[in-house]
Amino acid sequence: MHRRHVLSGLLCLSTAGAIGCLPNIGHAASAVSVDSLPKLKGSLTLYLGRGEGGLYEDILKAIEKRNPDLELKIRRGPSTALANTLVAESRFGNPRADVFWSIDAASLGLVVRASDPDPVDAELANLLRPEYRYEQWLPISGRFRTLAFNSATLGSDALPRDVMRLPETDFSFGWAPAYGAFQSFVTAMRILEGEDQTGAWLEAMAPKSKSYAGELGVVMATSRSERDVGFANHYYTLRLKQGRPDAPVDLAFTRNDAGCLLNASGVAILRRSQLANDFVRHLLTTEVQGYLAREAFEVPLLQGVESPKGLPPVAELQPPKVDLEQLADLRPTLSLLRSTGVL
Amino acid sequence: MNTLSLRSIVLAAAITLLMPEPAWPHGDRDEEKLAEFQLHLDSYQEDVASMIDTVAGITNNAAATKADVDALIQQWEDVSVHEAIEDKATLAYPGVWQALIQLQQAVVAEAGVEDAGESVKAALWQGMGALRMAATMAVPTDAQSDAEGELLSGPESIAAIINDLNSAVASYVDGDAALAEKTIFDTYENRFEYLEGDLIPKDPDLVTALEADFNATLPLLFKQGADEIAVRRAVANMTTQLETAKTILEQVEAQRGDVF
Repeated sequence: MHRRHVLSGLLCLSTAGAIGCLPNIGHAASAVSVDSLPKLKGSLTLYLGRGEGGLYEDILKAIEKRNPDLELKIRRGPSTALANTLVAESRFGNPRADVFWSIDAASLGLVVRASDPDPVDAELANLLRPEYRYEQWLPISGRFRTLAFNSATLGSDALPRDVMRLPETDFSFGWAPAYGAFQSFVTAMRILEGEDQTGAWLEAMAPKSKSYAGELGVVMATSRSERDVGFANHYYTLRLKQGRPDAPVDLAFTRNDAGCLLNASGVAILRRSQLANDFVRHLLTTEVQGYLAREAFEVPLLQGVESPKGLPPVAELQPPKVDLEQLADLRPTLSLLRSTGVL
Repeated sequence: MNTLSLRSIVLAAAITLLMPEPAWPHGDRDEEKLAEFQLHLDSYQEDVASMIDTVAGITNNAAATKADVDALIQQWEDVSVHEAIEDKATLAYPGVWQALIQLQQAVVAEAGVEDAGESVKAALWQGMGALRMAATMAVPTDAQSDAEGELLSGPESIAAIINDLNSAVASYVDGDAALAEKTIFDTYENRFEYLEGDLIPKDPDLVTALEADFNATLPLLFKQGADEIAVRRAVANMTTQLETAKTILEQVEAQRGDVF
């Protein structure tokens, strides 16, 4: 039986947004500075699912510069492709990565299911907020599903806080059904609400919605008043606003449903060692977390690190309890999107 | 935004909506077989032949119903060649689904069933052909190779994308439209997508225009067998936009703060 499924029945201490947790840890330690960490020495093989704008690479360069005795061997590629490689390596008994850093939780779920690594050390898990702890991998940073709305014509109060009630409104919507993030959102809705409810929601929303090639297009159409509301990850709106502060688009959040799903990038330590643990601790420092929040608008999941500018404090948001590893189960979602004519 | 850009985005949506992200179902995916897919081509061809027999059973039966096509779609869901095409011949994958849905609609409408059946057969054979090409392709595209190689900076990535575009044009002129299309797909997936974050705050219109060109304008020209002049004109337009992107990225990277 899969370990996450064993754990999913156990307690999650936070009432707001628990997505998975270890059973024996109640509080997060405060994030620490890199200055408090030991120097990294030795050879480490990292499989790196490419991240935002090469910023992950900047972080790795900085770690290497700071730790001249670290020999970092990096294999780069799309997260999905590297996950497939790691699964194949595990099947053939030849896993070659010490650490897998992926931009999406689904890839990590696939890999830990195939390779069944040792549980994450408590000293590492302790660094994360309790609601963001998984047994065999560690979230590094998050991204929220949001409702981007045209702030020239709507106030956030006009939007229901329940994503399932959106079909009852008269708003026009924009979405990008071919986009992986949208499909993860629908997958989360399937998990939370069931197939029938999700199918009905898609059918009801389809006549009100216009499809775009990507979620930036959705947000831009919303800012141009082509659409009242758009479905998109939070950072598209924040990036657009960074360049165009007066753009009439803002973020609204539903509560405890797929509309405010928090997905995560993360790492799995596939060959446990002190070096691998210490390397991951570098990714969870205040400096790296702050860098990701500042430069990539990613959401820190540690105590003591501020959210990106323009995003409410994480503690105020209420993402749903979803096992992120289940978001890999895309085939039923694609079938549903096709059967409802959305895709 | 001008009319052409809007049209491009609509086209991009139309194309990309037919290209679902690879799915990873729990438990029913044979990773071992996929990892050695080139050893199973005969088995995949048997799957295709079996499906084509089913298609023939539908097109030759004047009383065929939607349930018969649903059974065909279920057969497609079950055969091993499905995941092989989905994973190893991604560009051919949406065409199979599109043809199946067209057949379903034709059967319901009781019109054009034979033509729709032929489209399904053609899409399946195209998928099979793309699988064979993937199995024999000894050299990956540059974009794939770099995925495992050294990191390129943003401006270096733009230079590599322009090289990929020129390489795609050369392939197209040589008569290999499939390789040209794959090169464009790879360079978008493996290079451009990772630059978007830095470009959006500076010029979001540029990003959406380039997304449309990568996903719709250029692939459509290849599919339609457009003349070389039209293809070169489209690439020249993209190159101009990419040069603008390069300038932006140089500025962004120069201003970026330190990690530690």
